[in-house]
Amino acid sequence: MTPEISTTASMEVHFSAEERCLRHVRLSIVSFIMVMTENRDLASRVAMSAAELVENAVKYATSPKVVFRLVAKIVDGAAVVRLETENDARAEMVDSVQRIVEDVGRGDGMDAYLRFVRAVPEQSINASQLGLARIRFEGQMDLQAEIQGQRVRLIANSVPTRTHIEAA
Amino acid sequence: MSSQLSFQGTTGRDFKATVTPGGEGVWRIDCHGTIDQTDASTSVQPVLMQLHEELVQSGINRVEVDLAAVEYMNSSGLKGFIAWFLAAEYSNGGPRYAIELVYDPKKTWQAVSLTVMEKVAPRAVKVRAMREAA
Repeated sequence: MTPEISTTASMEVHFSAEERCLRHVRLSIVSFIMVMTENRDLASRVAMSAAELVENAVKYATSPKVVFRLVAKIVDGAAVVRLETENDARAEMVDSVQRIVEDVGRGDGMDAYLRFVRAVPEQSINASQLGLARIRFEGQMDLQAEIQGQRVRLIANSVPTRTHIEAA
Repeated sequence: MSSQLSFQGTTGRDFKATVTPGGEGVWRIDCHGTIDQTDASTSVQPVLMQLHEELVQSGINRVEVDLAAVEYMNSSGLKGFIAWFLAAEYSNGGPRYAIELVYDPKKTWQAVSLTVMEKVAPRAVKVRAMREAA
């Protein structure tokens, strides 16, 4: 029996809710996932998902305490990635985030994304619900929301994805 | 004569689009840079909706939008483009001009999130992969 080859890497970043952090988070995650998996497609999907989650956290944070976590595990050549953000939010956002996550989870990923895309004209100009649907469709990650008081934790889990994919 | 649109990103004027009215009813828009501000749609969407009005007024047949050189666009920036595509599809009783989106198939976000725009605005938007340099 071949022994299981397993690798785990993680990062946790505590940062202030500032826009200038966003690009650094995205680019550092591209590097992180590329070094670990050599799969550019996966790195792009995870970095986009992380950037959208962190954007949400920065946009709706009511305190400077924003936390981002990434755990990537490779078991027998398949990578599984878990992303988390935590932030305090206004009561109305806390109420709506669970509803949005449930809506994003309905149907398959493309159905959900197209539903949110088609709703764009009905949304206020600065609404950001599209980002969570994009995580599910383009990021190929499932979403969960955990609420404790005013503290919102958004979690995204990837499906197992083969590592070491050479660029086309 | 070309004109230039630019949008603020998280590190400055990070996104630029050069609009070139061409002959034979075809305009060209070459885009490059990054859109990653949390409220990008508040600047992108009004500019693109104004552009839509200009395109309708000009009576053109087609606009070619080259997004292949765009490094990244967040969902807020995409939302601004989607609003334009839907306006082109449904306003004025149906498409008055076609939008041809050119994307880089090696960029995952473009290959996934831009190509589905044909499903969203099937009469107005056509998507094609960029041609490789020889």
